[in-house]
Amino acid sequence: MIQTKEARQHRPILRRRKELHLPDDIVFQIVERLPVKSLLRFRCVCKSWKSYINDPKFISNFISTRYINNHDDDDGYVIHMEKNVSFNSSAKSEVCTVACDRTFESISELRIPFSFESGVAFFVGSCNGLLCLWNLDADMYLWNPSIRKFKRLPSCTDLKPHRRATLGFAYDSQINDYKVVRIWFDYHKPVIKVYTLSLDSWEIVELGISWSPNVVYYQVNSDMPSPFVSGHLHWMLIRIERRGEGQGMRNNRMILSFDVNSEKFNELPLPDVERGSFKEQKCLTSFKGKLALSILGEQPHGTSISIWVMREYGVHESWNKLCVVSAENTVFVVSDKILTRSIGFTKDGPLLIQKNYKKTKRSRLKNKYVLIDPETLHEKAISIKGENVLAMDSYMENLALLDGANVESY
Amino acid sequence: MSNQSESPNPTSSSNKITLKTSDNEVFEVEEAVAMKFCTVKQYFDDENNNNVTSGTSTTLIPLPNVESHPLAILITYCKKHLEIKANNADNKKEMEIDMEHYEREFLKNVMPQELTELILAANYLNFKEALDFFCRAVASAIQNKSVEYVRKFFGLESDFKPGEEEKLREEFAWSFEGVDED
Repeated sequence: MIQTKEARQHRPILRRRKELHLPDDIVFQIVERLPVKSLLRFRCVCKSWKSYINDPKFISNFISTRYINNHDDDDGYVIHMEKNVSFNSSAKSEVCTVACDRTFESISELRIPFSFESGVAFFVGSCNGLLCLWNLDADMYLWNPSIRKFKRLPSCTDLKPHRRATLGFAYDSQINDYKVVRIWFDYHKPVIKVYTLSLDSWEIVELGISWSPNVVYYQVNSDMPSPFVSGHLHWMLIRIERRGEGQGMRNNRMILSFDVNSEKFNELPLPDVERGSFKEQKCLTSFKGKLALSILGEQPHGTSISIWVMREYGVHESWNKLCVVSAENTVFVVSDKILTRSIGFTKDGPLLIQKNYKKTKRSRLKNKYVLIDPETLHEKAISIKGENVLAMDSYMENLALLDGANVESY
Repeated sequence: MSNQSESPNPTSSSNKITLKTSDNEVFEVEEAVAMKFCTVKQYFDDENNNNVTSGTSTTLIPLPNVESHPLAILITYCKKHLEIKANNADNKKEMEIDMEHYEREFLKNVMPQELTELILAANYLNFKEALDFFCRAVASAIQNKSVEYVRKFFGLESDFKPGEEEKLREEFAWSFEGVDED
């Protein structure tokens, strides 16, 4: 007769200790779950750990496993703020702020470790926590704050100085590479160059879209990071077209998309939106991994913000109005400067909005930031120290730039 | 429910499976628990395929690579895991919160070194959720530790040439700041 035993309550172990060692595959499953700072330190454990952690395959898997395991503690947002409005007024360099949680309650400050001659930095975007900044001119940097390394990109010399270009920054997951796209329109001729991190060089890419010969002028319209959705970067494009003999000009808007892997451009439709107020700003963004459009318009008593979402990528009919938020008593635009704007969606849905408002007609303008839930329209004020948030993007720890040419540590 | 009635070997949740460890202890566990151990499930399925006539299984499944101590802990963990899953069948978020809470409590009673034994058992039994949990637990137990602690923990020795390790340390000197005492 076999004597059976119920599973016992486990007790703290006080037993003979025999040397047990884990097989390599399990040891490395544990390594994969470590944060970046520990990984950098544990490269010193032994040669096999060092080469495992330095392996580009590990570095790219690191990103995908963080997505799958949904490490909420590790991801957050990076907020780029204007110079000299940081907490420390003596700060010379600009500040990027990382909000480590969704509520923006625990915020840490990252000082940009390089400086631009012009003194101004513009935020191109963040991909998996690798940030791209430039100064509207030839200087451009990739920066990984989680391993404290940055890299100055080779300059794109053929660009005419002070010509306003539009940029986008993306991750090509198929080849585990980072790319910067730079577009500027020489009136009706687009000049496009793509920088690939692994090649460390800029290559010319053709637009490959033929447009009506009546188009006289193009303008790419965005100060915000170009949304990266379904493997594509997106920009709002305004085309100014001749209507016909003696009929003047008309402009129309469309979405220009760039497939980061195949490096092909495409056009995407905008939703059919009735023209609202006279003063209006349309801006592309992303909402829970879908392409989205925010339309801000001036209203008699404030600003209205409508959000549209393209439910099925590339399908015109799938554009759907998500919500309309009205920001009472806000001032939308003063002499061409937009004062109330949507900055972007956070990962689980709420929209970060900058509001400039007046309590009474005579009182001074006040600036504040709120998170609005697009489903419940519940609004929550958040405190971001510093007055002027320029851009926001998602952030996570990453090991990119661990190795490579011309990478500097600080 | 309908899945069970369609299955070729009808089983009810009260069916027990007997597991025998390397130190000759015998555990009688519910089938639902045993089926989370993929190694056991495989053995059980093979047995049933070879022995179609027997309606209920009386098989004793030997586990020559698992001792009774880690198995008892794994059974407790597995039962709780199934219970939390059943209690929150329609709410994934709630389930995750309950699971996290249980796992935190669980770890209070486990020494980091004990985790090694549990991982080996979970790995042999191919109990994926437990393996993932224990790997996460080890990662969080060692993340603030020194390089020396980690070597000792995994039974590893430095194989760097003189000077190599110092160079590596210098490269990210800041990552050695704020490390726990061993």
